[in-house]
Amino acid sequence: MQIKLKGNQNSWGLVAIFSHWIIAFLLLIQFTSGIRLSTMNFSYSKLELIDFHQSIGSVIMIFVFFRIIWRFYNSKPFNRELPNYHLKLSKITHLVLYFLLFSVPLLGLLYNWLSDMDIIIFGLITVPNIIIFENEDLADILIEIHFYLAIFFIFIVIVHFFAALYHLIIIKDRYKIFYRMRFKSIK
Amino acid sequence: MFKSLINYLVIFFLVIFSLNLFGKDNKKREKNMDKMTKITIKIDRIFKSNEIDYQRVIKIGKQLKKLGIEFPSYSKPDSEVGRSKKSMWTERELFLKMNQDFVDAVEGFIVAASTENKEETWAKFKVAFEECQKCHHKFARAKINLLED
Repeated sequence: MQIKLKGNQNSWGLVAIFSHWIIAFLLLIQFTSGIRLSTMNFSYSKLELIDFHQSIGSVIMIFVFFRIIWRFYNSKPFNRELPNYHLKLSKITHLVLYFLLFSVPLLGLLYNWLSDMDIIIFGLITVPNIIIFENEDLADILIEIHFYLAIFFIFIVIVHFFAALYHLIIIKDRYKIFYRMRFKSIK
Repeated sequence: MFKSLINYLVIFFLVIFSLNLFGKDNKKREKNMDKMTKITIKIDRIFKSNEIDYQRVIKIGKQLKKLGIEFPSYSKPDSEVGRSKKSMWTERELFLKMNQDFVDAVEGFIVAASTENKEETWAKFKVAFEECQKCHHKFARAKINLLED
């Protein structure tokens, strides 16, 4: 059996499928921890959760960076039968998703760096601060934007999720949208 | 052009942010508290990293102490409650005592950091952190229950 790393007309390929589902899983953790953080009172558990949230965010950023590079290299399936408005909607949603996937963690990263706070991924790797100046006021503005963009992000992910469910349940995956993102499709 | 647009945007946000802070006692208090919270995160992370720069720890500790000393001055009798409980004003003596206990604990932390003994410094940080929590429990409103007094 040959495993298809790259995509074709019937599948996104192993690399894209794996990164899609791993990012989806990490985002679920990230949204949950983010919402929990915004409601938590000051405690040592909060500090621990901030570190965890920041570590997951760093891992998401690495995956997204890798996924964007792979997207240019990968052969993508094209839906010829898909109605035009579906194509347009999907394109817009995906563009917004990629923008948020990259900008939300980046804002978190900049907040830490501008506040002169070390970024330690899972207590193992310290990410060097590449910003030489400190600006707490700017950092506070960026973290506010991070918060509101994250709320918008949750909304867009819900739209994406329900669009996938629509394809799977309502129109019985007529255009194989869901199938192409399943591991089954790589065989 | 893009660069100058970014610069204008940053200046715009900074001006709006500064105007928002101007004259509002509770905003200054919250800003001060946010800075103190950030410093505790900073110290916690320094101790989680492999190499501890004690000079940096002392510098940050001094900033924390300064913010702690300044903190009561942002809760004048006529100031808005904001994220604080009314007890900050009704139990003023206790608030000032607890704030002083925190400042003293931070001083102990700075002294310990100057010995460059990791265990001792960390133990003193935990003492200061305990003081933070005690004060928060008594005088800060819970985030998910803003209806409390």
